[in-house]
Amino acid sequence: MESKTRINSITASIYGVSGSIAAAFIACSISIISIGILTAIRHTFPFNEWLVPTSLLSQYGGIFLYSHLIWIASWILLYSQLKKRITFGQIRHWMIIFIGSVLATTLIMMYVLDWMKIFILFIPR
Amino acid sequence: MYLINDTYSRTKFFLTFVLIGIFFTSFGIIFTGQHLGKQIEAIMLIHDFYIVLALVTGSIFIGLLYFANIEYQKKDAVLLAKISTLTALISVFIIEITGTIGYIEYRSVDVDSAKSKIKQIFPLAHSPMFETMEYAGLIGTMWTGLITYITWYFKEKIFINNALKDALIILTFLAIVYALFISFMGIVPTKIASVQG
Repeated sequence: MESKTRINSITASIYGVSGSIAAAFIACSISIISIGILTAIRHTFPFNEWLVPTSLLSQYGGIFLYSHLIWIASWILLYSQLKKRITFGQIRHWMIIFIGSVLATTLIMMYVLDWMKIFILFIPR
Repeated sequence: MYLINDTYSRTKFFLTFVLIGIFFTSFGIIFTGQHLGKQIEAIMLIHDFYIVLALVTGSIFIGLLYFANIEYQKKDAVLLAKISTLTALISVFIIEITGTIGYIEYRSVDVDSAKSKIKQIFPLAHSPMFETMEYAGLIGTMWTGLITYITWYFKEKIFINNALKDALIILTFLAIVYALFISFMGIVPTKIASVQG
């Protein structure tokens, strides 16, 4: 019983994923990081102009458009390159990279959008 | 009970029933909004409805991964997992589209616009809170797309392989927590606007 549990846990920890799944993880991570970077540079020339496809949405429209285009384009490109790989990394590693990209983007946004103004409100005087 | 004999047919029947319900609720909100001349309010109601739907389908998906009886009801479990992730993905797309329409109205240069009022009353509700919701909300499509793709790609393996199951549970759980955090960023400005307006 104990050895069976050990085998299961070892199998789970070293579970490799195919190239197409790795492509999905990498494309998602790239596009999520791109949202953070585009948010950070949205008021910088020339991005303040490029990121405005329509005046109704300002820079938000550009970040929406370009992040989704990056996602789809990188997924197609990575999928075509990696689809024949039977295993390409382990799911645990791709999870860490994905969660890391979400965390990085969130921290970039919090820094750029000046969340210190909110945190200061909670500091007792 | 007599018409539907096996569980797979019953699962399909209930799923069809729920999906028709979602369609009629959405249609009803839009129709009521058009009829009363409150189009933007109807769009924002649709926005809220699909946020709740995405959160509910995410929770159902986690419950399914934990409790599905894969030995006897494999087809039901796989069908439910596929439909719940697809529903969440479509919901997130609708949330983004309706959110974008709402954003156009929100950032109007008019002195009576929500943005102008919020900036006068509590500027922090616009920046950083509302702006964080706008930009961080865009992550939702990619995140839900990834979960949906993994589910549709691996099918019954998501219930059998522990590493996959754990990965999906963690991804979905974090997505729900992140969505609640983003929703909170939106609740503060909209509640202020609604109280003042």
